[in-house]
Amino acid sequence: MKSFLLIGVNHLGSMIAKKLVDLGYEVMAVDTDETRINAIQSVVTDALIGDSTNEEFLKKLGVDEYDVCFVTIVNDFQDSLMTTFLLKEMGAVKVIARAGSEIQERLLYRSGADEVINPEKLAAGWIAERYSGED
Amino acid sequence: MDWTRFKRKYSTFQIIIIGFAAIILIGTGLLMLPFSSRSGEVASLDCALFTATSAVCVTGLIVRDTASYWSGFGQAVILILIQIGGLGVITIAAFIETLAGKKLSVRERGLVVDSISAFQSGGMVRMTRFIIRLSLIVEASGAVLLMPVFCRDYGSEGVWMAVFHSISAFCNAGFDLMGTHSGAFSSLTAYKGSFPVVLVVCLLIILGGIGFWTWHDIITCRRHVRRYKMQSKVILVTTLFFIAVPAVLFFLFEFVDGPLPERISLSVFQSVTPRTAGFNTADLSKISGRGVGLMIALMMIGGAPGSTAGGMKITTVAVLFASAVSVFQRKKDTQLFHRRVEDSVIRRASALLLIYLVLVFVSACAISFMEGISMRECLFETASAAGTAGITLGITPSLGFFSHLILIALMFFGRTGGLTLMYAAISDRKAEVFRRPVETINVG
Repeated sequence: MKSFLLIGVNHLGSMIAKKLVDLGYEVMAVDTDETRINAIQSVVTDALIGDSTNEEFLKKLGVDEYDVCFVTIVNDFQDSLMTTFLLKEMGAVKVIARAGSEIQERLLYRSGADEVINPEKLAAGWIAERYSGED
Repeated sequence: MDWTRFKRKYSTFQIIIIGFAAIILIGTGLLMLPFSSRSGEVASLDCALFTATSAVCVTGLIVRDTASYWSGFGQAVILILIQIGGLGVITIAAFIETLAGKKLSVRERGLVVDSISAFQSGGMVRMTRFIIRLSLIVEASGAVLLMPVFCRDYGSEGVWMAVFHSISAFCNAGFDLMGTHSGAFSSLTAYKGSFPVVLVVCLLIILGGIGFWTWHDIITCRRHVRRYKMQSKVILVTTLFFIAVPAVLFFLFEFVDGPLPERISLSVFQSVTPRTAGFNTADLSKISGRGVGLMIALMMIGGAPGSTAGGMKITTVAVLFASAVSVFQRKKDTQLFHRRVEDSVIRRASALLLIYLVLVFVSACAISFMEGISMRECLFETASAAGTAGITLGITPSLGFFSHLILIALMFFGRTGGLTLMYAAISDRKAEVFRRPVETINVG
């Protein structure tokens, strides 16, 4: 069975986690914030409170054993960058990072992300196409 | 291995444990010398190890009667072991080192802090000097006060008897030298009606059991009780409670046939001694089931932290009690004397209670199974060992080697303090890099 590591449990992260669990996959959720982890705990396979920019913590997680790692940290781009970089350095198979702007996209690619997703850009494209056909 | 490397390799808790173990082994060796016993025979390993552990752990359980089996040399060895064990191996070592004019290193200070359960590392050297000076003063005055009675009864031997019993009482050990006079294993039963002896021994036991920090508060703040540390207030109040209440209970349902003054003296003494001295003036084998139960509870509770007493400590009981009260009142914080108790303290207290209960019960079951003795005697014996009390219903000498080993382990555990032993065993204290999420579980 495919397993996913999800770092950063905010709106986007928790929605991804729920969908993956619905689809029948294993999800490990990680966040520094205890209340967020307590809230998601009953949904996901397992959850931990910890700092993903701490190498010791990532080592304990065993990041190379997950099929896909999501970095869905918002509000702190430096943490996003460092986490992405560390994950790749520790041999994560596939790292998908979330970006908030085009510069961030480029920076995340530079630090090793396999794929970068900019949810707002995706949604913007979809919205524009969805409503431009209307008359 | 040289000392600096040794210190770096082991944690302070491990060094405390190693210190106690080393003194026990040295004591065992000395007690096995031919001239340690009265008959000139070499004591068996079982007997020597048990006696040395009992002395260093200030318990007082014995397999051979101290006065009739051991020679003067053997008794002196036992007395020195009691003194070292009572004040703590580390306290004595630190004191000797400062006497030699050496300055304690930062690590050594840490060692002293952990071994006398201090709050901070400042003034440690002064504190060890204070502890040792005060102990010697109290023990000397105890011996002087006991001397008239003992010299009247035993002539010149009375001097040695007074010194021995004073130290033994102050260190909460409970070894006695009455065997050759009033029958083997008789403890202080011959003096049940002698008020000077009962009073002095009780006072020595209580002074030893309230702990060095409480003395420090009493001496520096004197009558200004408000300025005492919260811990000292808790210790004084609970000590008073655990003397008065059991004394009243003993008075109500034991010793009913004696005259009134003797009943009072017996009740008070039997209520002071289980926590955790180990003398007795009453014949314990004649005590009812209620009395035995009460004594088991008192032995497990023990004295104050940082004292010569063992057991799980009265402050542990006080903290758990306060915590229970806060639960009943649905308050978030546990309070004692207008101070908040940290959650980590409550967790430690409940862990201690649990290991004491489990250890005492499980080892009593094991001894009962191996020796075929009823649980009443066995529970009394294991509680006495774990609480380093040293009173017994008389089964100690007849137990087998493995039962003795269990008791030795319990005494060691009781003296070093359960948590020190656990911390020493589990030294890997890496910072936690993550925490688990919370999920509710129902209790009760």
